This record gives sequence, C-alpha cells and structure tokens, in this order.
Amino acid sequence: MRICLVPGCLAETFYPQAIRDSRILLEASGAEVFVPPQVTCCGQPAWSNGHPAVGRELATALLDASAAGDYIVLPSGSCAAMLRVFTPPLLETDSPRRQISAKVHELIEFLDTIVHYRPPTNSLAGRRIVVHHGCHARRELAAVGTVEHLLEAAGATVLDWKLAAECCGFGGSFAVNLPEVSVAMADRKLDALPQCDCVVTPDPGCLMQLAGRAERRGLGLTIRHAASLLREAEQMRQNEH
Amino acid sequence: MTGDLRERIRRAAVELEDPGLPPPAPRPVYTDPLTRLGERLVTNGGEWHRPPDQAAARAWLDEFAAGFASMTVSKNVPASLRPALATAPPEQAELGIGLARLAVAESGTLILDSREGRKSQLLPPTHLIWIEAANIVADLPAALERLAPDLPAALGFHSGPSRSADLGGITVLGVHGPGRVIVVLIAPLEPL
Amino acid sequence: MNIEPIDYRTAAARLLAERPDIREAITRATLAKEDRRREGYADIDSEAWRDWASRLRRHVLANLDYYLEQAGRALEANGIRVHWAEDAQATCATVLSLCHERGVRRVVKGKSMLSEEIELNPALEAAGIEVTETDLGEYLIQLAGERPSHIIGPAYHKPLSESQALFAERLGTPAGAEPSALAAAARKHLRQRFLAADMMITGANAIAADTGTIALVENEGNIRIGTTTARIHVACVGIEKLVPRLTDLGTLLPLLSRAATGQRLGNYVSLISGPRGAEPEGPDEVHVIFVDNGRSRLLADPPAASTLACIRCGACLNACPVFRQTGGHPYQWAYSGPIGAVLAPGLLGLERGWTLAQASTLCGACDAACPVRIPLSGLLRLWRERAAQAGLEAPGEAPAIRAYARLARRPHRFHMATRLLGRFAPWFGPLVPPLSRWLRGRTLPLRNRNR
Repeated sequence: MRICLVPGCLAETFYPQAIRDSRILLEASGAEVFVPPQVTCCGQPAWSNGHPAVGRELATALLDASAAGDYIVLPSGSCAAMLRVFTPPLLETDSPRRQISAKVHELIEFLDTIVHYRPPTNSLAGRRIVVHHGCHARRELAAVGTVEHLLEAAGATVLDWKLAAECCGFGGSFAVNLPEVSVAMADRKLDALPQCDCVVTPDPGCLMQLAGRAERRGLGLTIRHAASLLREAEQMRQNEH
Repeated sequence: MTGDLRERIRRAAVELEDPGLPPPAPRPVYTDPLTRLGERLVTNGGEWHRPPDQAAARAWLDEFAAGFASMTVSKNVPASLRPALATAPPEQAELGIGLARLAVAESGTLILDSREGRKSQLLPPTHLIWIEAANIVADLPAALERLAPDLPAALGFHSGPSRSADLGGITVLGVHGPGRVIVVLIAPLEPL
Repeated sequence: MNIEPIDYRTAAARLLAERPDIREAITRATLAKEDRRREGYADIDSEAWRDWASRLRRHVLANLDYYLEQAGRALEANGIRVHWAEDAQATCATVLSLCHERGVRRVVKGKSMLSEEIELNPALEAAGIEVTETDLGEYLIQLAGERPSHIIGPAYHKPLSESQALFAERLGTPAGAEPSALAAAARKHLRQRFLAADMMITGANAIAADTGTIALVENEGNIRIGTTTARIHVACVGIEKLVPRLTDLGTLLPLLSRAATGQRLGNYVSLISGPRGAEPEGPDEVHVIFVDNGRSRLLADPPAASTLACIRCGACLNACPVFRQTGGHPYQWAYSGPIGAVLAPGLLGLERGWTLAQASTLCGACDAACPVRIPLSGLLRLWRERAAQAGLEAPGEAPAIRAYARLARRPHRFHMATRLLGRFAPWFGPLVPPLSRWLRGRTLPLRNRNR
C-alpha cells in the first residue's frame, strides 16, 4: 500500500515535526509513504474567502499531484475536508478527480478506521488528555472519536470538555480579519478546559490558534498536534526493538 | 396583491426548484394519551388532576375554590362545574374557569376557544381548565384536523403558565397570563 | 450614493473591550438555549422533522405567488383586511393611516423582528402615538432605549443587575428586587397599557393559506392578551411566512419551539382566524400587512432564495460561536448571527451587508442547528464570493490571494517560502499584516521547537 502524505500549508510552515511524526505513524502501520514535491496548498483559503475558481485550481492540482497514492492522507482535518467534501461539487460530474478525492483521509481517522493502527498498550498510561477536533473534521468528516479511540488504546484518559464542539476561532482569514472576536473564542475554549496534561488536535489551524493564545496568556498548557503525541507513544514500541 | 408584486413573485418563484408537499413527519405513538397529557403538562409547569368520578371532581372543586375570593367563568362551563364563589369581571377576578375544546397529549396543551370568552382565560392570575376525556388527542396535527372545519376568531393553545426568562435568564411565572394553570380531567358532560 | 458597509469588527472589538459583562450574559444564555435545543431535538426524529420542514418551506417559496393569493382570499373571507406593502416606508404608512382613520392613540406590541426591520416604533412615535412593547424582554429594551440583541431573547445581553436598576428607576421597584418582583411590577404596569390600548401590533410566526389563519407563538401571554383587549389587531407579516395548510402548523410550530427554546410547544399559541364578529370579546378588526421589503428580490435569486425559508427560531444564533462572543448589537440591524449575516446582503444589499458574511469561521454549527436546513455556511461563502466579484473585500485580501495562488503554482518556491516564513515569521510578523493582526493576542509557533 502506498500512501501519499500531503503536509498542508500550516503544518509545512509551522509544524514540520508534525509531518515527520505523521510519517512515522503511517510507516508503523506498514505502509510505504511518499510526499510528492509538487504538492502545495489544498485551495481552501481561496475557496472559503470568495475565490472558488482559484480554490478549484489549487485543489485539482493537488489531487493530480497525489493521484499515485492508494490513499491520500493529511495531518489536517480541515484540508482533508476541503479535498474530500468541498472539492467534488466544484468539479465536473464526470471528472476523474472525483475518484482521487474519494481517496483523501485525515491522518488520525485514517490510522484508526482504515489501517486500524494501534499505539502500544499503556504507552500513554496515566496521561490525562483533552481532544479538540477542527469543525470540518467534526462535521464534514465525522472524525470525532478517532483521536479519542487511539489515545484510549494507549492507556490515556480522555477528559470531557464542556465546549469540545465549539469552534476555536481560527477560521483562516477570520483569525486576522476579526482578531478580537477570534481571540475571545479561543479564550472561551481555554477557560473551559479541565485540568489535564495535554491538549491535542489533529488540525494545525486550531493548534496554532489555541497554542498561540494559551502561550500569549501564559497559561502553561501543553497543546500539541495529535500525531506528535501518538508518535511519542509509538516511540516506546520502537525503543523496545 | 398588486399586479406588480404578484408578477414579480411569480417570475421569481417559477425559477425555484419545487420539492412538492412533504408527507407527514414521523411521530411517536402514544398508547396512553391521558397519562401523557398529564405528564407533559406538569413538565411545562402546569398542575394536573384526574378525579375518579364526577362527585370526586365536585369535592375537589369545592375545596380548591375555597382559596379564592372571586371568579370569572366561561359560559361553556356547566353549573355542576362552577364553584360557589362570587363572580367578578375578568380584570378583577382571582380565578378564571373554562372548558377546553381539545387537549393535545404530546405537548401537554389545552386548546381554548374564543367563543367561550377570552379574558377569563388570560387575565386572572389562576386559570382552572376542565377537559373531557373524550376530547384528548395524541398530537397537534390530529388536533388541527379536528379543529379546521370550525375555527373561531381565536384559538388559544395553553401548555402551561405564563413564563419568561428575560430577566437575567431566571425563569419567572405569571408575567402576563396566569401564573398558575390547573387542568382537571372529567368524564363526558351532558350537552348544555 | 455611497453606502457604508456595516462595521461589525469595530463594534465587536469595542463591545469585547468595554462590556465583558454583555459577553458573559450572551454566552450563558446561548449555551443554555443550545443545550435546550439539543434536548428538544432528541425526543423526536429531528432529522426527519427537519427534512419535512425544509421541504415544506421550499415548496412554499417555489409556489409563493399561489399561496399568497390563496392566503389573501382566505383571510379576506374570514373578515381579515389584507394590505400589501412594498417596503418599510409603505408598511409604516399603512399602519399610520390605520391609526389616523381609527383614532388610535395607544398601541401595544408583541415581539416582532419585522417591526424592528422596518423601524415601525420610531415612525409611530413621530406621529405622536404611544407605543408600548409588551414582551418582557422587549419592554426592558424599550425602557433602556436599546435594540434587541437576539431574535428570540431581545434582552439576552442584559445582566440582571441592569434590569434591576432600570426597573428601580422607571417602575419604582426596590433596589436589587428579585426577578419575580420585577415581573410583578411589569405585569401591573403593562396590564394597564393592555386595557387602555386601541391597537395591538404583532408579527406572525406563520399564516396558514388554506384557512386564512395567523399563528403566533409565545411564552408570556402578552400576545394573547393584546389580541384580546385591543379593538384593532394589526399583524405585519413577511411575504414568505406562509404554510399551505393549517395542519402543517402541527409540526412546524413544535419544531420552531424546540429549535428556539427546546420546548415541545411555546406555552401560548394563538391561531387567529378573524375579528370577534359575534363573539363576546376580541378585536373588532384584524388586519394583515404582507411586507415585501426586499424579499421578492431575494426570492428572484435562486442560489440565495433558501434564506427565505427561515422561521426565525434563533437556533443558528445560539449555535454560533461568533455570535456567542458579542450578541446581536454589533451586527447593527434587526437580524444577527448567521441568518442575519446572510439576510443582510440579501435585504440591505451587498454593499451594506457583505461585511457580515466575514463574521464567521464557517464552522458549520449553524447548519447543524437550523430546523429548516438553510445551508447557512454555504450562503456565507456565496456572499463572500459575490463580494469578492464586486471588489468588496478586506483590505489587501484580493492581492494576497492572488500572490498566494501564484506561489502555490510553483512548488519549489512555495516550499522555500514556507520554510522562510516558518523560520522568520515570529521576528518580522509584528511589522507585516496579516501576521501583525494574528499577533494581536496570540504568539506564532517557533518552527524548530520540537513539539
């Protein structure tokens, strides 16, 4: 099985470690992983800001560049939703890219439900974790439960969060067009957090927003990409061998 | 409608996809609408009594009415269901008494007809509503089907006391309409 | 004419800075109502009900001319006078001429968003007519000289302490009086207004075209009382608010109630099918004013016409994480939240309303809440697209998108740029928008920090 790993702009720019971690997890599930150098942006920033033609152009270019993979996997729920859910309506009804689009998955959902990856038992035992799903992963990809499932399989305790389903306030250009409201939204989420060791999310946009706000406020929270925590768990297995 | 507006709307509407009228939405089946009515009404903040017979209803009424100084009674309420209280105009009466035309189990709703007089249903702080067992239907569409052939100027659907949460999100009762609603189930009445 | 766009951002930023108590009150109210809505949806087959309602409302819109004609005839046959008004001004003029012809001095009102939309109160007051809002929340707002902040709960933004102070000043209640004591004072005061009123003005939740029946849903009983005591009842109704059959209300009104407050049905529903006639009490006259005010233009816009399926439950406001921070005031017109943001360009025009479509993260919470399945996030995106086509965008956005697209077409440069940006953004970010706007309240991640 060949997996095309698509980094996504934000992870590529700010969280390259999360891409390396994603790769390790995918390889641990037994797949061959490649990152095509032609892959750039999924087009969502243009599409959601009123430039659907540009969005379609970038999305189709990305799908074409990824077509060689049996699966196309992104460590970003939002980009995965763009390519899998929002792109097909922009395409011709008989476009072959619809089939490519159907191969797109968000990383954690892919690990959990397609290749049935499991982290080493007890590798996260005793850790108290809170999970944030990006809104598109939650609604368009129905990915809620996947991160939780893998963390619990590793022995972690996933804590309830009263505002789990609430948007973090990122929203792409929203975060910079309406920074005051965007920050207020992040604060609501952060203020409702239970005591925990770590917050994880499979979405780099949400990660940037929540971690950036928490750091500015000096909250001393650890907020990470879900792939990075799971990769740390995976490391325990690899250290044994 | 002015011809202009009609023509504008017609031209616009014809461009829209028409999915047709939908078949009825699914509804749960209630095996015991009487019990359901009482439960739902109480959930809504109302009070519910189910005396075993006419004599018990009368006894309950006399005891209940002793707590009030005056009443206003809808003309549809038979003498046997009127307590021995002084009558007063609806603006001043402490208690309003009426007879519901229908009740809806699914939402705990009593349907009141304006032909019995509206003020007695609304102005006194307490409202006593009699409902005959035969006039309880399972759900709202069924009620509306029965009502449609004979619509008065106004039907009032009362599902509980007057309430508001506009003051700091705290629920208060009796804001405008009755703060206390008591519904009593009775056996079928003789025609007036 | 130079039309200023609604500046949501500035108003929102000011509210967040100056009135944290409003944010708290709105958050508390909307989260509570959102919980109630979930409970309300949970004990019915809400997916099937929403499909039903979505289909019903779209069927009405696709046959609106037919149902309006039918409703007009049925209302007239019931003895209800029907008027048609092209716009806000014509609607106010119709109400005013009814007032003049019939010697109306005192008007009481039920909560009506349409009346806010057409600014009916100032028009009546300018003509020397006394206008009293009777919905408790709306009455509070009127006393305070404010605007409603929510379709369903006009005073959701008001902390209790403010209501207490307002009532103490205006109705003489003791300082810090309990809500029940405040409500009792309002009841006493407004009861006098009801009994003295010449005219009751309401909106309508729906009109049944087959029987010519006006449906009104509420919890306080003020609409029932006002439509009983005043000699004239005037309902101002958007032309879109029809249902084909009386029995349709049997599902639509419970769904509306569940979406709005989680109730199985509002505690009071009025179904009004005529003036009192030979009955003992009730208004001598009932009038319906069907109001267009831009709706027929929106109807003629197929991609956006589903906006008119709205039944004004406020569920999308309660679900919206943006609305939750500010309430409705920064939207600066009658309708706020997601539905307000898609109605604004539709009814007020793109130039005035486009900015509200920016006030969303497109998170989709509204889509998941809407009882009639209006594709709200899709419509927000549609208006962003139309704004972009009309050259209406946030400053620098169009060139930024173009530059970004150019870069994304050249993978080698793109990857070099991400590396450079990731490495140096935290250092030059404060100087360069949009990074400088990001850095308002947030840090940027350090690329090489091993997380």
